[in-house]
Amino acid sequence: MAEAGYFSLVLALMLSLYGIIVFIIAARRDNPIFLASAKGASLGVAFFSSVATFILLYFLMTGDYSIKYVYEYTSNDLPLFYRFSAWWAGNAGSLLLWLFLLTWYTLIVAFSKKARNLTPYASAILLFNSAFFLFVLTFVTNPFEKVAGWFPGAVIPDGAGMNPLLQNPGMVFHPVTTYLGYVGFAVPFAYAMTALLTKTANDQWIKVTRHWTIVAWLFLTLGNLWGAQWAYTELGWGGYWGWDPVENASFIPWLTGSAFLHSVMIQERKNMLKTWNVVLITVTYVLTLFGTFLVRSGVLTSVHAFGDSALGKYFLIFTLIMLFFALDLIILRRDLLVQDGSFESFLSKESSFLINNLILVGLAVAVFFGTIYPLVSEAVRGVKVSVGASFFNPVVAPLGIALFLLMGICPLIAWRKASLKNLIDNFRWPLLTALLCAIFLFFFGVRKGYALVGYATATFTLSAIILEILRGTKIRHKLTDEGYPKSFLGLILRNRRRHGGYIIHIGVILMLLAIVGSHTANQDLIKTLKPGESVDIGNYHLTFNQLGEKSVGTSLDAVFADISVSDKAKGIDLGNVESQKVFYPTSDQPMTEIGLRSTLKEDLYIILSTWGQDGSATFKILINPLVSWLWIGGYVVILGAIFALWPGRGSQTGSKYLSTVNLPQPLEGGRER
Amino acid sequence: MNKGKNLKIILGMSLIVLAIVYLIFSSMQTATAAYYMTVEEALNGNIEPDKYYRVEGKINLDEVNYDTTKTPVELKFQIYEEKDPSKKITVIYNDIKPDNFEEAISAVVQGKFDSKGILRADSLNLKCPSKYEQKNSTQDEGVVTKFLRSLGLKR
Repeated sequence: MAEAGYFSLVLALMLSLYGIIVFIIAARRDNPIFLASAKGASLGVAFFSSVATFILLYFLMTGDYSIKYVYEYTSNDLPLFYRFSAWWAGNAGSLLLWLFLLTWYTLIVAFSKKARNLTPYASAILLFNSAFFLFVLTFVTNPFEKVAGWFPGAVIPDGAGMNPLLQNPGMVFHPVTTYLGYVGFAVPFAYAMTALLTKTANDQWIKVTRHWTIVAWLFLTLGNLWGAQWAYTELGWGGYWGWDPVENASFIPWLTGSAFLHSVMIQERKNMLKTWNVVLITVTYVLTLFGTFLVRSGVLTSVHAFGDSALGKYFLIFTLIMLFFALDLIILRRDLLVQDGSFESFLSKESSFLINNLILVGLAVAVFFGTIYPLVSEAVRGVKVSVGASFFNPVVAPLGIALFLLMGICPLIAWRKASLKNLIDNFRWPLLTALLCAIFLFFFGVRKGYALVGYATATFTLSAIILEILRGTKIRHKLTDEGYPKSFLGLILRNRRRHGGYIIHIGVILMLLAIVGSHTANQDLIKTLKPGESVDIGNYHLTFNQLGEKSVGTSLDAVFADISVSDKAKGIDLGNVESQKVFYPTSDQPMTEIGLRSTLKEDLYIILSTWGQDGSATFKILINPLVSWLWIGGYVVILGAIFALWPGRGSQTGSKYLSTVNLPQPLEGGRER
Repeated sequence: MNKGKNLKIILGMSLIVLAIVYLIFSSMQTATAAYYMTVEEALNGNIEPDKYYRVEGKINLDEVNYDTTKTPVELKFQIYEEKDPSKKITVIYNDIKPDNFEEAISAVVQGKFDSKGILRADSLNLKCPSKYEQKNSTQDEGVVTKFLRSLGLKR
């Protein structure tokens, strides 16, 4: 059966190559028979890739340890849930997941009824991606390889087991969402390239891929967020972001993807920034591949990378092929990308979008530069030097603040040209609230510059968005004579794309609060306590009661420390927190399972480090303010994205102002309602 | 199109780009750069006391001392050159001992050297064999792999 899995991959590879050629012929000759055949091929690719996937899953679930992959990542005592997630625990399996998602995305594109003039080439480009993954899976890391020394009839009773760090719900969702994001950006890229290939100069490719882009962006956001959550709860070092190359690898395409998401609106509306948009989606797509190269090749030292493997080389080659293909095409078709519109004023919504893009891309460049700095310095100066948070934080913080300010300014500033009066009228209230917030916080003891600026920025932006919605409601109320609640609902439902965007912005602002709070007001201490001893941190009074032993789940043993938490000032009992070290059967060393008491105000985060013969135990205790808002903000972002994507009346608003190729300028000016 | 206005926009945007570039480069100047160094190079005395280093080596598990009675706690251990275990440096890290410390294939330590040549680490990262792929060098093969190899399609 393992052979059946492998041959499914080989078949899928052959079908994908066939599909690419036939799609291209179909597009060139406009031949429906070829097109039908090519579509069939893409169906076949998806089918055989799925068959291979299901066979691997079957092996993982049933525990056939004669398969090397199954042997290496699962064992008899592994819960079914994690047997399933073993699908993406290693190199071969995770590439199979990528392929699985990619082939289904390709299928949706190939059979899409929209923009039929673009689908053949777009499908061919996507199939080319599939072909690359299939090539790697068949020739470099075969997921169906047998274990060493296996001979027919041999039964291997148990596997080596999954790394305990991966046995966490965060590691179940984080990779899937990240891949869904990565793969998703291949679709707008494919359409952008197709638009160039077919000399389609208008913004059709952007309209067709708008939903793809939002979905890909949403998943990449979630992938990053759940990765951070996994790091926070499972790695047990007290933080959620460490500027590790692996984290940066998925953050950089997120930044350029976010820039793309915004700049396409300018093309839709003003027919401008055409080259920029094509370049942005190319860069985003290439970065998803390059990130994978960084993670799988071992060129950069990372804490949680896949082991060194030959895979990186192939990813680098493929990345370069795609990059040169895209750049070549962009240069070849540069005539198509001449923009029609122009900027009329520095003080306008257009230019605020442009600045937004400059900052997002600037952030991406900074993070990219910092990440590959060891390679750069080695090449340029001959010494290998790396930079960490001391480089990233001072760059990202001011740019981030500027970005958030812009997020508040943009909704309130007029298209084309804003007057100074318009600015003063619009920004009076948000500025005032921000100032009040800063003063208020200052009197309550917040003295750090970055904290004050960060909170004030969040307040400014949040109140600007609220003000914008309130004003819309008021105008609608006047126009329709509906009650305020109904006007409000009508307003946001009628233009879901825009208000979905606002909801996403509110979610991101909540995340900003968490980032500012957890970086400016965090505390930590390390202390060895005897049973009954107490320690104070922040507003907490902690008493270490005792150590105990217990079993977790079905097969795990844990040593735990029982700690009573009470309010330092008032002495109110706040319950108990348990911090553990869990012993996994497949590993000699116990793994930290943090004790967490999470409130909206702050997290009390306790790591049990070690214990002594006398029953004493050593703890690292951290106070991480506002971290819960990071996760809450994430859910608000999901909500906003779903809101924006919800089909039906109201979902398309914004596009009615679309200018066509022949209509270089929007006919009307001013703000639209 | 109004050329003058466009010029103004381009000028404004260029200023923003310059500001971002300046920010990146000035932060690069002030950032703590960690210089990669091998254990052997460190022992050869090329150490500058103010420089921040990043040294990777294998952990000598016989000489690990995790003293939790001290404040702050102290993890003292030695890392050595894989090729030549006699070349080793002492590392002191004032933080809790990470999980997997005993199982790590190597440690990546960042910090400054004190006058006694001890590396005072403020960051300790471990490379672990059990993360994701296991270091299992025995390349085992199925029928197909063997078949492909015989055809020269797989090395």
